[in-house]
Amino acid sequence: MQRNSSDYNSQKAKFIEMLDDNVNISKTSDGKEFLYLVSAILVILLGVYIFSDVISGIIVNNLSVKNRLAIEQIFKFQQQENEDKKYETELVQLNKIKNEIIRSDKSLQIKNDFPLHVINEREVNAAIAPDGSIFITSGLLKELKNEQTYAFILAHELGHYKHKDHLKSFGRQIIWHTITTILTGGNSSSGVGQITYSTGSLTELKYSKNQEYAADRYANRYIKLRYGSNKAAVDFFKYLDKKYDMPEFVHYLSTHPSPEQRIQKITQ
Amino acid sequence: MDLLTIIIILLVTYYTGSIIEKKHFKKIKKREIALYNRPYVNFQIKKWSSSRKVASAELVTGEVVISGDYFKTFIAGLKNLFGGRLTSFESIMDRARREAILRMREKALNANMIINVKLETMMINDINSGKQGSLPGVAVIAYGTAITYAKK
Repeated sequence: MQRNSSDYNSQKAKFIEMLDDNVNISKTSDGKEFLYLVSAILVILLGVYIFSDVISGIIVNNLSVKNRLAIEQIFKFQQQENEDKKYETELVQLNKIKNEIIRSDKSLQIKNDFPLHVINEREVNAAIAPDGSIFITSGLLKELKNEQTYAFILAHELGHYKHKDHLKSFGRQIIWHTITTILTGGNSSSGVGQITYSTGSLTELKYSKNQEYAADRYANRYIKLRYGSNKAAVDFFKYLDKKYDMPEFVHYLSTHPSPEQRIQKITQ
Repeated sequence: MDLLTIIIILLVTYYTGSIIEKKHFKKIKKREIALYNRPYVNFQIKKWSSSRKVASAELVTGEVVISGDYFKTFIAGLKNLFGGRLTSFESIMDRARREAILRMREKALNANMIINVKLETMMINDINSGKQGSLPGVAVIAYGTAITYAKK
């Protein structure tokens, strides 16, 4: 009897021990596995991103002028509602500045025209469409009245066009989406799909920061030659810095570098 | 913004999911130890004989439906790419099986033993349905025959 009871107790102790440690209990923790898998996928995606960036750069740089213009026509922006009539006097001035910039640079003369449009928006902003149309917000025209500033902004946008930045980002996105769709099987609801699609939105940031700096340098060189100083550009960035007072880390995620960094780059 | 939402959901569900799982395992362990000396076996009634008189033999069942959380599903989705064991779902399966058996045994507390125990599973929600937010759920049913001896 005594022996049976000790047998029973040791059996029970063994049983309790087995509850926490048996073949059916996986040893890996979910958190660790998650970090491991996500970092592996991010490394792969980084590779895909660099690959698509390099390849689209090579393709776009070797594009002939004829093909370039044909491709740009495909990506023609839909005509937005514009307010050209309200800002006729400003448009005449802007067109004059624009034509001067184009006359100064041979590589911009491949195209007949860069039509200028004013769009009704309070934000201070300007953009260039792939087909060469330049859009300027009415907010910008209201807030800034300086000719040299206008020249800097227009030269910046034309700099994007000259450097084929829009084509490069199109090419990058096409290659990126092709590869990631093959990888995820087009299923955006799976875990891999969610990571690739949400990191994909980061690649869609229109131009990279380096492209912004290049356009800044181009515009800076132009106004220095034309007006003898880049004071207008520095003032413009100081104005932006004051107007959109954002903490520094926000700029890491935004399309444009912070005004402070942009001043630093053009003054050095 | 999309990325941020996913990260927040992942963090929250990882936290809540692991708390719930730990609690559940603790409860299961306690109940299993409490029921330690009540036998349940899976041999068939044909092969079983006893010198004692059987007063009743009745069917006892225990069911449980259990779902993986967002975090576990997310990891399983990532595993799709590389392959391998879906360890995040293994713990769910473990919980479901033990819970179902425990419920069956707790139903037969007056019986002397349960024989011919069987387990069945089915998917409640298909992970491959492609619908957004579909969580994989598993249902486990445990059933057996509870034998009660006649009192001497």
